[in-house]
Amino acid sequence: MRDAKLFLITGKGGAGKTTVAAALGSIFARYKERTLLVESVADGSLARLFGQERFASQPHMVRDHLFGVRVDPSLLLEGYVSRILPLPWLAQRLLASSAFRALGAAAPGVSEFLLLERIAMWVDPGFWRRRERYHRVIVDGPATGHMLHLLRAPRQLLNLVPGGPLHRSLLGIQALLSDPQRTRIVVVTLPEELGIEETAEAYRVLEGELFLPVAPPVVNRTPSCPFQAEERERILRRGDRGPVYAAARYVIERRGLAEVLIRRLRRQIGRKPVLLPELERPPTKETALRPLALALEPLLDLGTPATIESGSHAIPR
Amino acid sequence: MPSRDSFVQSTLSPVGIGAILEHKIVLCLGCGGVGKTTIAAALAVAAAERGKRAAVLTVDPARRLKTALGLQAMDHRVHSVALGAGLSMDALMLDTKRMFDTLVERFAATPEAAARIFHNRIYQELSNELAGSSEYMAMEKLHELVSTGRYDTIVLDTPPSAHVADLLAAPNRLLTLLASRAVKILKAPTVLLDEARSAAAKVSLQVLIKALERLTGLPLLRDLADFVSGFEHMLDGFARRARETQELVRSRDTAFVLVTTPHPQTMRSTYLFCQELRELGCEPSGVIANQVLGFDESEDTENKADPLFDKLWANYERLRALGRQQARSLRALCNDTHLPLLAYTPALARPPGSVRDLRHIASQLAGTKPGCT
Repeated sequence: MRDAKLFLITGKGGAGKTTVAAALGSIFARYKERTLLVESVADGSLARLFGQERFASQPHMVRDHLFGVRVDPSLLLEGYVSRILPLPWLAQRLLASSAFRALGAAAPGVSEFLLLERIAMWVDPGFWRRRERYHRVIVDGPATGHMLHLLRAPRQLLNLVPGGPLHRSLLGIQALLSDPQRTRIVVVTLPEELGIEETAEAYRVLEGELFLPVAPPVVNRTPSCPFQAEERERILRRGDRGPVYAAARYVIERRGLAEVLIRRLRRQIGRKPVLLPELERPPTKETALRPLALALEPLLDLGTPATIESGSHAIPR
Repeated sequence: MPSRDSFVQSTLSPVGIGAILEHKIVLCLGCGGVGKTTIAAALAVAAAERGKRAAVLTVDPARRLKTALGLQAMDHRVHSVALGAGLSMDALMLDTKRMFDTLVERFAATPEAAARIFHNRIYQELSNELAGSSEYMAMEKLHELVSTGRYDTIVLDTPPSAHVADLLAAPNRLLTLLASRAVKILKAPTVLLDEARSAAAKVSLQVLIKALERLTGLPLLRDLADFVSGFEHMLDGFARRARETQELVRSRDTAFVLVTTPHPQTMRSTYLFCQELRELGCEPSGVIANQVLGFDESEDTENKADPLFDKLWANYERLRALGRQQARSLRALCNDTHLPLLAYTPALARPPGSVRDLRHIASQLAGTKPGCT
């Protein structure tokens, strides 16, 4: 399987970032790829999908081929300092200083840098730690605004830091993020006006401004409609005929609006969105992710034909 | 438009929004995508319909709602929205960057000092994205609106923060940051040396500082020091404002409303929001449920002959079952949080896009017939 190593999942709050991250992890693990799921906003929701209370702050096995880790912001600084400073006592001394910790918390961009640096280390831990290497690293990332902020950080910091080891780390991170062979940013949205607008805007920034490799957008919870085209027309023509018709009009209009928005998104970004069906209830365990994983496969270079736009979820052009 | 299912109505038995609208400030809280902006706007409409001078401060409205409220992109001015029948309310949108600039201008000792901050690279690149700055500025804007004394009721649509604390503690957080030891260190990294008690420690710290400088590059430290010392002179002004804002929000004049949808994940977040709010010492007034499915009872005999009837009926039954499930879950949420359900709005296939839509939602919230005041 060819495809990116690093998947950064983002989207508006509640759009289904965690669900998509879990479904992707589930696909890769099924293909027997060593996959690391990273919970960057550690609320345990990703871990719960795999039957765990929460992921630990060091990568650990969740099940065959699948590993999980939670990002603990308070440990990032420690990890970074002890990795770059050659002498343990020096690192300890520095970390013991409350002043240094305050500095780490206050300086703008530091927390962003530390998170990206940590992720980059999981993607490529280097020669001496090559046994800890993963085929795929999937990051359940922050919401779109924060993610854009995060992805802008290396550039902004490069402007501020003209040289030194930090500069070199930043260059490495920047190279990883902008490499289409290694990285894929996935934007998840619901078929709702605000989410679709925000997604189009995120694409404009990610592709047009930051030149980062972006996957087709994922539209989650696309409503289905039990009525065929001619049935819809007939129902809408009949006007107000009581609650049974009102219920029918509700599903038809909801589906209609979603179609309009998805077409608009496709026009705006020039990419065909991947549509995920609306499940009766939100997935609470991995097996419930199956229909989503199936729908997501076209997003990946797995050599399978794209079948996403068949069946009741096809959006007519 | 779906109307009300008697089971949904009796399960939820909303207590009404009358008491909420008697507050000077109504803060709408909830996670992203629940329709906070819509509910906030509709609450302001409901207040205006009760003869109050009302305003809604929105953060990031959808385009159609923005148009309905007469707001343009990046426009921070107050707009008067005509609601018909001689009623009106004010609407405005938060512009974080501009609000920050305004505050810097106000508190800087001299115009030159303000200019120095505006020209600082760190301010330029980060003032818009500084930790919690949009939350902070929302609070500041609220303070500004209250100070005008022009309104009886101000409804605030809050930024989509992951945590309530981000919003309520935002003003304090920036201040704590600026007043912290970090400030001193940033201004002169050699302050670290004061910590050293022995000569050996001093030497090791000197090595560290050198390493730090090499690591970060000196210009970064210089820019930071400049930024931080520029702000330091305004700390008093900022601190006073932050205190006033905190008092305002924590006074009896402020009501907290939790906005939720009946989606299970959303309700989970709402529950956590409520807990966090209480940990911060704020008691929410109740829950407003947005987008609840509910269709009238029907025995529908006249449409039985329709060839589509079976399909129509199956769809109707499915949505009714879903609506009842939603009502039960919402009731459980209210029981778990010991909060009253203030009001609910029926699920709409389309989001509101006009003043008429908003008035309709306002009437649903108020439990009156559409168009009645």
